[in-house]
Amino acid sequence: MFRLETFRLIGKTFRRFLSLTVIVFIGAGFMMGLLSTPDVMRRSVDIYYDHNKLPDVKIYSPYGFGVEDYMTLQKANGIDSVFASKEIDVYCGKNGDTSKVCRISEISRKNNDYELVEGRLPQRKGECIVLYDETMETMDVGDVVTLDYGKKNIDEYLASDRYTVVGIFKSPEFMSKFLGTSTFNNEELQFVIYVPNSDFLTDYYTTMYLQLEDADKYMSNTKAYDRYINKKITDVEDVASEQQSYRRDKIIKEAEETLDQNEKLFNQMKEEGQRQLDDAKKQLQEANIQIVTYEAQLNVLEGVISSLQASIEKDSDILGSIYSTTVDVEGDINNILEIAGLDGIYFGSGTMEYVYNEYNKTVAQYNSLRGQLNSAKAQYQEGLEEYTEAVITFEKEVEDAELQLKLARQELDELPSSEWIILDRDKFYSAVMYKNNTKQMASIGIYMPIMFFLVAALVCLTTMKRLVDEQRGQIGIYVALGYSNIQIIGKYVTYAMLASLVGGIAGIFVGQALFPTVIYDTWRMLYNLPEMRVMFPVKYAVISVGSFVILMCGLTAYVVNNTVKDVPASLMRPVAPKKVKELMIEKIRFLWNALSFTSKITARNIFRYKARFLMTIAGIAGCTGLLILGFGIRDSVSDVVDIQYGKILTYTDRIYLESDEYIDNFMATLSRDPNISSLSRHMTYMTKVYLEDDDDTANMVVISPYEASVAFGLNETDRKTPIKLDNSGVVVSEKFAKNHSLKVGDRITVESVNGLKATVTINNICEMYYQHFVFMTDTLYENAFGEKAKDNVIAVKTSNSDLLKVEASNLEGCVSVFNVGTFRETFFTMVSALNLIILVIILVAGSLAFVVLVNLTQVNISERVREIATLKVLGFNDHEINMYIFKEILLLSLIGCVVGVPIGIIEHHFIMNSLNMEGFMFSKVINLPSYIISFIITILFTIIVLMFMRKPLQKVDMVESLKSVE
Amino acid sequence: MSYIEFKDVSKIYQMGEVEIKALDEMSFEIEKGEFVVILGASGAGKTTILNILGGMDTATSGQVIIDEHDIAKYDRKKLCEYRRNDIGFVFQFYNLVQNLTAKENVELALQICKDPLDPVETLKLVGLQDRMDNFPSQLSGGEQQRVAIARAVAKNPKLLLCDEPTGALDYQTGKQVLKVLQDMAFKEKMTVVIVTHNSALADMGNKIIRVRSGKVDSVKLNKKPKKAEAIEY
Repeated sequence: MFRLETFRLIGKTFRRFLSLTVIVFIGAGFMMGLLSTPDVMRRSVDIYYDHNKLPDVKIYSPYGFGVEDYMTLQKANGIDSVFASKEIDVYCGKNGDTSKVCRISEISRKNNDYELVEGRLPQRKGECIVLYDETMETMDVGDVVTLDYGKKNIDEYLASDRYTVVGIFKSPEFMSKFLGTSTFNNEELQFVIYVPNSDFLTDYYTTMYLQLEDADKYMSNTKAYDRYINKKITDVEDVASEQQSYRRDKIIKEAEETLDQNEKLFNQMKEEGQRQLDDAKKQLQEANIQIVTYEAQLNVLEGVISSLQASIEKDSDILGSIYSTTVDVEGDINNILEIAGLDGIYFGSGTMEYVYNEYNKTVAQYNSLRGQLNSAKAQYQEGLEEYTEAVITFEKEVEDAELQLKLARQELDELPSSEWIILDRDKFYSAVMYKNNTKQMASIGIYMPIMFFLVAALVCLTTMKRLVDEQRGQIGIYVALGYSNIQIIGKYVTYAMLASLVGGIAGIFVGQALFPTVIYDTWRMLYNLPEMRVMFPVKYAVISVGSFVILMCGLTAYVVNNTVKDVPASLMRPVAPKKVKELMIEKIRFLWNALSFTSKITARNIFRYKARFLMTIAGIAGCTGLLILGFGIRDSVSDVVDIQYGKILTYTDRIYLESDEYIDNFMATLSRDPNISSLSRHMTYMTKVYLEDDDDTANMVVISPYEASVAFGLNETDRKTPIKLDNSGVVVSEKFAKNHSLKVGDRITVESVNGLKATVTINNICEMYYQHFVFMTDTLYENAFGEKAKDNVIAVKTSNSDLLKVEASNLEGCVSVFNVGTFRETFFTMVSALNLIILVIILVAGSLAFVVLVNLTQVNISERVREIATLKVLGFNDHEINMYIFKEILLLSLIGCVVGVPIGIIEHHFIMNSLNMEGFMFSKVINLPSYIISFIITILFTIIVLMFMRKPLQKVDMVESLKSVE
Repeated sequence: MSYIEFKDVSKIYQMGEVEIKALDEMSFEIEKGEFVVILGASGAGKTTILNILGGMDTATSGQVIIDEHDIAKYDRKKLCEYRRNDIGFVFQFYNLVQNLTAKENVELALQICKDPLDPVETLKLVGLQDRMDNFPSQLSGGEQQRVAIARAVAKNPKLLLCDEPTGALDYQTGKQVLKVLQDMAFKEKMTVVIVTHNSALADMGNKIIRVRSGKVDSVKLNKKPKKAEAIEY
């Protein structure tokens, strides 16, 4: 009987029942949809990851990997499968253009990590497949890609430098439309190209992809997966710690062997040289002895000659004595001559003639001997000179060779460590981005329903209060008849429970069908996502319906309990009208008197029903807040692009040069281009930044303060105060400072372009939305590292980027021309994806406003039927009656709008913080038009509701005024 | 021609298959400045007369002439104008707006009409000059009803229509209210119509119209109406 009564009550108060149902429908639908969206996102991608075997772990090694490394990993515990791949980052482009950065990988044979979406696989040398990308002007089947490896020779790495695109593929590794940055200049990768592995000429691998054992049993992007991988990755680390030095050791060993061989060779050659030198020396010494001998002989001959001369000059008388002497001399001379190896001389027996002859002969002999001595001397001198020279050369060569050997050994000792870089999916560019996005969705999913919860509570409170007030008499009868309080409360709780169950269950199905699909589709614009996997997480369904049922029933029990506490007799009487209190505003007499009656009534009513007031304010403020949030998100994201690529980086193109020797020519040539409005030069490179907690990398920009003012518009983090670079310290970008909690005055250690380290002070922190930067003046660079900065980049602002590209590419020394606009366009495409989210937000905001306003209007009308009927009898026309009721609602809406502004700002701040992406920072500024549009839409919602509510107002029968008070 | 004329007015309610004749070709006349009491038991058609006379409902057939205008032919909008300018209505349950003070309740009605009386004067007229700034919840039933009368009168209507004005009041306060109404008619020269089932009130009117089963039973002119104070019920 009692139960039947409940159903009858529902029939009788169907509108009210419906409003409870609808608010729960929306609330629970939302909760369900938003809570399960991250799960759907995770699951869809998990299946895709597992199916396409996205590696759990990726390993890089500074030395590459050899077959042994591969074998070891393959055999290691906990590793399911290993795929070794060769990769290389180069410049490329189609139709001869080679300005895009691209990654070339070999097509994996074992892992089917890619999925061919168009065309076919390469079949011969010079054919390739490219990564699918819908946002950019990309390669099509049939295009020819030209590769360029800058200074290095591409034929040492690849079989061809021209590839024909024969197919297009998708890969879970490159789900995000940001493909990551290249390994050689940190520019955004713009293409990924797969070529057959036979095209790679190198004999080592660059990357190892691992599937860990049982990892596919865990859902990707969940904590469970992370925990499992963190545990399992130690296995890989163990292998790494044993294996990682293998290749280095092998390289060192090989090098050492070569060195040893060289050293041996060197020593042999050194010995040989020394021996040759020694021989030469001996010869010289022998020659020297001969010279001495010659000189001695000459002396003797001189003696002989002078004595012969003397003999000839004296008388023949003396000849006799001379003769005897001559005989003696003859013996002596013959002795001497014998020693000198000359023919003996024979003195005639006592004839002068003979003596003369002998004399003449001796002189001739002397002269010839003298000639011999002279030539011997000359030869000796020559030999000596040659020898000395040879010794010097020899010594120098030995020294050089020894130094080289020493250097080579030193170099071996100083070879970089061979530590493997082990990356889990958190370090994969697209995987981590997706993971972050999923997390963001989860935080939104928890936060957003809270608002609906609050509004549902208020709607329930006002509706049930009104219902119970109307049912006072009825309740009084029940109490008088002896029903227990619990039974009576039960009746109304059943009413609320039915409403929330019906609404909740309908809500979870609609919410589950709607939100994940819409949100997933939105993310699809950012990622190459696989098909969505439909799922129905029962846990969230129970939470969504359960929480609303408990809320509604609890509030109803509270409201009814307050009423049944009264004695039956007083219950049978109508509720005593609420005491009207004088309002603050009434004290200001002149103001109050100036108000019209409807305004006075409005003012009094607004403050009379606190719950209703709160409900409306909360609902409308929530609506405005949501709208501000939605438009604000768009502002923040699109502002970032405008500020980053308009105000902070004021150039349109960057030209990278091979070295600074070409820069003057570039500057001179480009300054003649009338399209170019500004030109500036600086040096840039990736620097490692050594910090206490963790090392990080950043773009180092070394620039003179003047050039900086041309190419950059740096502001402090207040977004207003301009920063001027000076020589006392560096300027770091905001996000970088935030990530590492750096403050002005902190000191960081950075590297020079050649890897020298220096510690510098942070002078200032600048506004920056994308990537990390360290700015340094050229003077500071010179002071810090002791070397001059060599500019390698020209920042150009031009109205014709295409022309610039042609111009620059034709000049000698141009590495690449990077157009900021391309990036800008990509970014804008992404931003447009947000429009769908904004649309969803508007729908949600609208439904919130509708429920609250319809409820409020209904309660207002039902409560004031008598008043309205009376006013009609008094002759108020339709418009005046409408205004009588609606003015209050409009005013509440306006108040709600105003309250919604801070709510929107807080929500926006919260969401933007959770939308935090690595390297990205979003602006937190919401533009004025967004506030205005939000305001207008909210008011529009209100007006639409009021238009709908005119009918029931018109229908109020004047006869109601004649009825007795219930 | 009388100030107010009911000429062969019929009102038929269609209740599913059944037709209910609430008024059956009823006719009566009321002169300007008369104090008329319409008497009848429940179901006699009193409320229907009230509704039609008050411009809240239209007759199925017949003429309802008020000051030379046939309101039976009025549409929604014109009826609203009529209620606004020509009728002052006093309800059984006063129907004051709870959120407005006594004075404001009177002003409320004035806001919409063309030629109103001064609210303060009107409230003085009903003897409530001291309670003007009180809210209805702070007033007794009789006081509330007097505010309601002031509200009706201040509009300066052609006809002051009262629906069981003492129905919710006790004897003493009821008499006070009746006195106010009588004064309105006799002193202020206003046309007053009281619809009631209480025959004790009959003696205080100039004209007593008794109705039964949708027809006029009798019309009696009373040359010497009893003073409200003298009424016993």
